[in-house]
Amino acid sequence: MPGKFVAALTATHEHERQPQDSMKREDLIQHSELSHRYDEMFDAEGAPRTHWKELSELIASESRGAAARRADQVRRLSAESGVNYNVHADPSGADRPWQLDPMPLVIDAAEWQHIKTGVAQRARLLNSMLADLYGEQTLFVSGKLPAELAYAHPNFLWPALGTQPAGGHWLNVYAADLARAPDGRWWVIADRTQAPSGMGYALENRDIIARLFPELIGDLAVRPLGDFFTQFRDALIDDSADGLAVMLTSGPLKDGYFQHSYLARQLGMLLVEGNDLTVRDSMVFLKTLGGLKRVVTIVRRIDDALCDPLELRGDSALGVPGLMSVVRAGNVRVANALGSGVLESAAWMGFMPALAEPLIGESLLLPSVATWWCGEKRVLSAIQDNLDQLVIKPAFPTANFAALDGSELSPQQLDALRERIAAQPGIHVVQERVRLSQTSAWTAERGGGWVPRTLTMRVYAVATADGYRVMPGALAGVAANANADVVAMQRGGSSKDVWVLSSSDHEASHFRESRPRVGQRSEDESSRMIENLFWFGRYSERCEDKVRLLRATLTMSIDPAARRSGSWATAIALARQFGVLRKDGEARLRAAVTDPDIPFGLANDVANLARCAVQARSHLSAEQWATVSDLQQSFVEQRDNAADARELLDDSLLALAAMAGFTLEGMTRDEGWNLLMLGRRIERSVFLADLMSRLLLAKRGPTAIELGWLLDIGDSTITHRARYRETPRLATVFDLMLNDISNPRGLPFLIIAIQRGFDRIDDDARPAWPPPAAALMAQTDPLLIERDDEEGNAARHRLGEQVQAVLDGTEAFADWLSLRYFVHADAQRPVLSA
Amino acid sequence: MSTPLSTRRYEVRHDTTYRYAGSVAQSIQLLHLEPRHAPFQTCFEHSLVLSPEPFSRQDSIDAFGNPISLVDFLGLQDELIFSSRMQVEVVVRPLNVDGESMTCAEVAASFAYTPQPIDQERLDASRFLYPSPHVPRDQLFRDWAADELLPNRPVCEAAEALMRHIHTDFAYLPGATDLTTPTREVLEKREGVCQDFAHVMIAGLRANGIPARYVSGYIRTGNGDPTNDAEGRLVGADASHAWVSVYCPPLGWIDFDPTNNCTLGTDHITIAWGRDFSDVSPLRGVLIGSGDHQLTVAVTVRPVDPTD
Repeated sequence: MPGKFVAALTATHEHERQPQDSMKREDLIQHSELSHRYDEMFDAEGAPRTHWKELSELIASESRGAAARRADQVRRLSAESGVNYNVHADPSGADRPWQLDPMPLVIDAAEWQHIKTGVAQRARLLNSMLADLYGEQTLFVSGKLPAELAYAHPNFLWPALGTQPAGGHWLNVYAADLARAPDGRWWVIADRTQAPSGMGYALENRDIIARLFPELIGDLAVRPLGDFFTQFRDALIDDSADGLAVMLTSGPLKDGYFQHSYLARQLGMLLVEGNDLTVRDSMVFLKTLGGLKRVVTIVRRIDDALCDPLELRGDSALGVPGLMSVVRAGNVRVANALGSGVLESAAWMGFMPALAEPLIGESLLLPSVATWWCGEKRVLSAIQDNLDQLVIKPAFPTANFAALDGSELSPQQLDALRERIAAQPGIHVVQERVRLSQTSAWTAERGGGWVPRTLTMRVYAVATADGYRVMPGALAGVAANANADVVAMQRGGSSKDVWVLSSSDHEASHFRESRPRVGQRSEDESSRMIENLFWFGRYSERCEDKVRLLRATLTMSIDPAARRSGSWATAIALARQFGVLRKDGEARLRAAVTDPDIPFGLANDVANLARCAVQARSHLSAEQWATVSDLQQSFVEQRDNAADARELLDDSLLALAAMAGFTLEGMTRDEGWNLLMLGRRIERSVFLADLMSRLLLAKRGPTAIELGWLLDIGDSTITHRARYRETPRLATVFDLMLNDISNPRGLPFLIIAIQRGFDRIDDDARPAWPPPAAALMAQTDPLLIERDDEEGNAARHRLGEQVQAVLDGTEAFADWLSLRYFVHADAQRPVLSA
Repeated sequence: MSTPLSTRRYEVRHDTTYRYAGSVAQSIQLLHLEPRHAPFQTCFEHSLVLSPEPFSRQDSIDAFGNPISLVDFLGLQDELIFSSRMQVEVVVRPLNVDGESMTCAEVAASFAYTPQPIDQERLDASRFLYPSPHVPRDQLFRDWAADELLPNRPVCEAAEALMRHIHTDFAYLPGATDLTTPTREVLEKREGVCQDFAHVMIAGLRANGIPARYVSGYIRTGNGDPTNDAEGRLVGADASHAWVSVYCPPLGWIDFDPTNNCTLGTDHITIAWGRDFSDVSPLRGVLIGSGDHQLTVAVTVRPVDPTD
């Protein structure tokens, strides 16, 4: 046995010796000196492979500058895409988004046919393995598989034993990580059976790369990805079924949220978190504005053991208590079935070739990288002298050691490793070391150029009524350096779009990406999402109000008359009360704009707006999203640049105005939109009423400069000038802001707008609207409140009190809305009793 | 201890009460309160009364063969009471520690994987051979138990020695640990309660390749038995109890109680078994709501005359 083992190893090592590469290439493309790797782009003689011809010619014909521009364009597009969005928005942070490489990976039709068939076959095999593991366990009884691989795996879910997956598949979505060996064959290096990630990235990558090579992608008849997502959707969502399909995510603070949100939109599913769902009577329901709605399909993006704190891991706050019992009752389809993560271990790989024949009656088409589980006695003795040629990996995700490359260990370290493996053989797996293939990737270093990088590729399959369908494309990853044999995008690597060429014109009949249809109904929106949209509306408006407040105050600061009249002091005091300046010390207006240490300052509200946008991401357009994300980015970048504060405020106003425009012009008028608009209107009413009542209730009446400042903040300067053609007076300002129902920046207009939004909410228990004080305001005598005598002051104060009453009424209404409609995510606590 | 009888009959009451400070929107609970079927005991009757009535209740059998109930309450006020009552008859087990069993080394070796068919009994036993939530993989347990689990010692004798070792070496100290104390910490501090001792013993056995399962149930404490004097009382303090079952081929599974340093006669009533406490905790649930809660448990085990 040991002899055969070593022979197998030697054989593959011989394959690695290839003719020395000596051909000249375009200077820009620096090629690897190492000859023991397969080159994706060039053959052994250095000529481009046939299917790379067009792309390599295009790249080779370009100047360095043109290539660098393309790389910049990719960086910009992927930063805007939002898929890569970094919640913490820290430009120097360790978790900055990984890059998309501008050059795609090209795969020809014949080769893809082989990969596609192999991946679909492997999905079938893994699905059958799961059915056996959670069913009859004939594979253990017959000795074809060691039971230890399941029983010792933390993702083997005992409560799932004996369950039958609704819909018939254990494995609905599968991904295989592939690597190309030096002999040109593709090998499977890992199986993703739980909630394979990256599908959203693959789609997003295609969108970006297609914009860089619009002609080429058509000329080459690159296979579109859209159909795959339609098939995915159709396979999972039964439109005739009486229930919703949702995607279960771990929430906006966890990795991958953006991808989940993107994918959910592509598939037309609602994106929900664990406590948006509830179990009643062996069924799952979504909490919506209109009550509980039955859920029949859950695409989960969270790990097996975290899905149900009742029966699985009790410390999980992400799951749905009772979900396992709904699965047992067959009342919900979970993709992938709970427990499917047990196959995520390299240990299974060595056993799979022998399982293919008995389980699916075929032999395995795609080889896995040669793998041995050390729990097998014969393996343990065979590896004693070969450890230095192998990679040693944990068999279970709970193991407390990382993968090791035997060739990098000293003799002493190897001895220690042998001892460790002998003590606990079952938790170790050894694998042949794979020399990954290389392809060109862009580097910005040394003026920019193409450098060789090692590559792996993730290929996706979904279960449909007609068997497993494979996405005609993939998510490729390239390592950060030329000879890494582990590709980890988080560690500085980047991703690549993968172009699968069509074998016939038929396959590429529609080059334009066809988008899956969106099937969700707005009334089914989760209460949480409605709440997110409401707060998104409030924060958009709050940011705009504070930008205007700061800008108007900056404008006033250069007016010497303002200082003399005391108006400046009034403005600064009010700005302090609204939280945009530090409570004491010098005003330092410009520095305050981006100061994150002012608790209610503008910078913090911009960050809050971005946070709300993160949570409402699935409802915002790409433009809205890009606008918010740019806005937040500029506040972070200009933190120490007070000199440009005025420009930043101007730019912010443009951005916020654009957002308001997108909201009005681009969003469907559903419940979410209504709440978003209510949020905006409520916020603006509260802000304006607060500001005006403070000015009206002051001891003396507002000066002309203060009134001008108020109009500036209320964005009504131009209207005022056009209408009254004079310096602002209290009478004219009152007329415009508190009396005129046609001024969208005035209180009467806002009160009516709130009324309209309110009328769309069908609820008997709603409070009275508008507040009675609103009608009283209209009875004010505009000339009387201007008078600087006792009667005039009393009338002005009365008006101030009425405005304040409107403010109180608006706030009470907002409180009622939130109490009545929003989920107050109740704490979910595990309890145990002995 | 009173003279072992070949048969004993008990009446058990197990009441659990939650009191809430705030309001509870939903409480969903998984219960292991009904005695499982076993050759050495018969349950004559079992009732589970819930107050208030649950919104829904489903009874079934878990992956380890234990009866379970899943109950769901909505909009709870003030308190929630689970009252479990049963009449169980326990008989002396036919197998005992004096029988001839395989050595520790033989047992461990018999679970090494070979690509050969495996009999169902061994496959079932191997469920209890690997790490579980309260029994992590840790060399410390292996080294600690290796002195008793000598390779050539019959496994039954070795398990009994390990039980004795725990009884001697560990302090029974209610309050020293809680339901979340890591088993490693119990081993380091050498103190705890029945649940901790069971976990430590299981960890030692499994780390040396011997399948061991966690058994939850009740024990005759003597508190409900007026004829018993204080001397003869068994520790368990009128709460639920836990011990260990060890796979001792060819004898089968033999139970050891490290808290009381005894093998099982007719003093123990079995409710459920699993890999560890997390598989069989009497009540396990999730509360959704605000405010704090208080939990009280009362268990009474009363021997009754079978002719009653």
